[in-house]
Amino acid sequence: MDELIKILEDLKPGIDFKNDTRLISDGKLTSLDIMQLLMEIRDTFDVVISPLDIIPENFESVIKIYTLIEKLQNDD
Amino acid sequence: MSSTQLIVLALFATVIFGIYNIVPVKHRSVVLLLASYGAVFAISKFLICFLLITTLTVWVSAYYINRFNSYFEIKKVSLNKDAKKSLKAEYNKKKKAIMLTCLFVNLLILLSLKYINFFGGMINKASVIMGNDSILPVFKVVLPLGISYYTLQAIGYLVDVYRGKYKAVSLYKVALFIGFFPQLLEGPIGTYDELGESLSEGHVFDKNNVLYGLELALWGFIKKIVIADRINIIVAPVFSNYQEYSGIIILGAVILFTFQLYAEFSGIIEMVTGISRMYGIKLAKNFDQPFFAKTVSEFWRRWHISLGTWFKNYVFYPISTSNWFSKLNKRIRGKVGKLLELFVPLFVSLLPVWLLTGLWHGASWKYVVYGLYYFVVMMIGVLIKPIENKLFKISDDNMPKWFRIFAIIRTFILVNIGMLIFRAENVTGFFAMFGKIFTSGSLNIITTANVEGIIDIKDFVLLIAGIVILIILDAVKENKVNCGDIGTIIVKKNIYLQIALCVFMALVLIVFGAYGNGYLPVDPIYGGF
Repeated sequence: MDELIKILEDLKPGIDFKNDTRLISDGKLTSLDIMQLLMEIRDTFDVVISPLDIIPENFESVIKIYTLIEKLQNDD
Repeated sequence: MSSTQLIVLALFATVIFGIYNIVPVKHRSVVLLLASYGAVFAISKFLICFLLITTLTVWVSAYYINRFNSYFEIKKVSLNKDAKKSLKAEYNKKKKAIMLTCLFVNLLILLSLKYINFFGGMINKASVIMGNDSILPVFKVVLPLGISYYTLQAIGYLVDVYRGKYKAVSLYKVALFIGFFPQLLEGPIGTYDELGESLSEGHVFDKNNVLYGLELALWGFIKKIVIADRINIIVAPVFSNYQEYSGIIILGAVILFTFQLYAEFSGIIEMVTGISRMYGIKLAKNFDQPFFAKTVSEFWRRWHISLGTWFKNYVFYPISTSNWFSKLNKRIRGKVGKLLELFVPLFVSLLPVWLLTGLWHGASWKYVVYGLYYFVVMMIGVLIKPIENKLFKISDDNMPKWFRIFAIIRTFILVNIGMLIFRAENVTGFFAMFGKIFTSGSLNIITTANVEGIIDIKDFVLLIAGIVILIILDAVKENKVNCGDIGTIIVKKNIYLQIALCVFMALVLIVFGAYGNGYLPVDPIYGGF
C-alpha cells in the first residue's frame, strides 16, 4: 500500500491520497494520470490492468486501487 | 435537418408517446422500435439499409463472441492453469477475428459514406501535383441519419461483449439499442449496460418523468430556437464574409459562436433527453458546465462527455494498456530525460485519439487541424502543469480563487480558438480570421452602430439576455445550489407550478423563437456528423 501511495504522490504531489475517497469524482485523477499510473503499477506490481477494469469505482481511493491490484495478482 | 423538422420530430415523438402509453406494457418497446425505423426511413429513405447492416453484423458477431466466452467459462473449471491459459488464448484469437471482421465492415461503411470525397480529394491532389488529371470523381453522398453516432454505439457494444463486460443480447434488443430514434439526432452515445435494457423494458406512465421530461425538452428547444438560432444572425454573415468586418466584430462573432454551439448542442441533447425521459428512459449525461473548466482536458470531460468517454474506453485505454505500449515505455525508461519519459507515452496515446476525434467531426483538413490543435494544447498543458504548480505553489487540493478564475479564463480563450477552427470555412479562413482579430481594428469597442448593421437591436438584447441566463444557470449548477437540470431546479412538489412553467416556456418558444421571416433556417450543427 505504501508503495502505491508513493507512486501516486510522485505522480500528483499535494493530494491527500491516504484519506481522499473521491479521486475520480473530483477530477483529481484524470485519464492521463490513470495512464501513467497503469505504467507504474505494471512495473512495480507486475500486474496488467485491462480496459475492463478501468472504471471510476476502481480508482476513487488508494484502497480501491490496491484492492484491484491484489485481485488481479490473485487471478494470475 | 432544420429547426422546423426538429419540431416535427418532437411532435412525432409526442404522438408516439401517446401510442406507447396505450399499448400493453410488455409490447411498448415494439412501439419504440417501429417508431425509430419509421423516423429513420422518413428522413433517410433507403439509406436505412446501412443501419440494418450495422445492426445485423454487430448482433451476429457479438452472438458468436459470446459463445466463445461461455464455452471458456464452462470448460475452464476442469482445466489446470496452463491448459486454461492456452484455451483462453485460442478462443481470444477466434473472438478477435470475429470482432475485427465486424469492425472492418462497419468502419468501411462509415469511411465510404462519410470520408470518400476527403480521401478521393487527397488522391486527386496528389495526381494533379504529379502532372496528371484528377483520377476520381466527386461523389454526392447523403449520410444516413445518425451514422456517426450509431456506429460508435454499436462498436462499443461489440467491444464490451468481446471484453466480457456483459453478455450478448437478442437481435431485437440490439436493434432497439442502436436505432433508438431520439439519439440518432446528436447522441448522446450510450453504452448497453446503462441504456440497453431500459429501452427494451416497457415503462409505465409516470407523472414525474413526464413533467420533468417536458420541462427539460422545452428548455432544450428554447436554447436551440430562441438563443442559438438568434446568435446565428450575427455569426453566419461574419464567418462567411469576414473580410468585410473589423477584428473586434470577428472576435465577438467567435465568442458568440462558442455560445451558439453550446446552446444548440446542449439544447438538442436536453430535448432528446427530455423526450426519452417522458418514456421513462434515462440517457447519458453529455454536458457538465463546460465553461467552468480549468484546463482544456477538463473542458473535454465536460463537453460532449459521451464522445470523450467513447474515445477513452475504446481508443485511449486499449492503447495505454497494450503490450507494445508497455514495451515502448520500458525501452525509454531511464534512458531519456524525465520530460521525454512523460512526453513519449502521452504523444503515442493521445495523437490517435485527437486525430480520430477531429475526423469524427467531419471529413476535411479543417477538422484534422481541429483535433491536432487540442492534442497540442493538451500536451503542453500536461507538460507545463508541474512547472506551474511549483511556480505558484498550488495543487489540485490547494488552488487559490484567483488562480481558478485565471485558469477558467485561459481555458475559455483556448476553447474559443478551437471554436474558430471548427466554424471557419477552412484552414486558410481560420488563419485569416485569427490574424484579423489582432490586426484589424481590434482596439475599437463594439457600439450599437456597428452591431445594428448586422442584427436588429431587439434581437441583440434578447440573445445577450439568453446567454446571461445560460451562464447564470450553469453557475448555479456548478456551485451545487439546488443542483440538477432545469427540471430539478423547478419546485417539484407543486404540479400546477410545473404545468404553468411548461406553458410559459412554450409561450417563450412561440413568441421569441428565431424562426419565420427575417431569420435564417439553421441546421443542427452536430446533426451533420
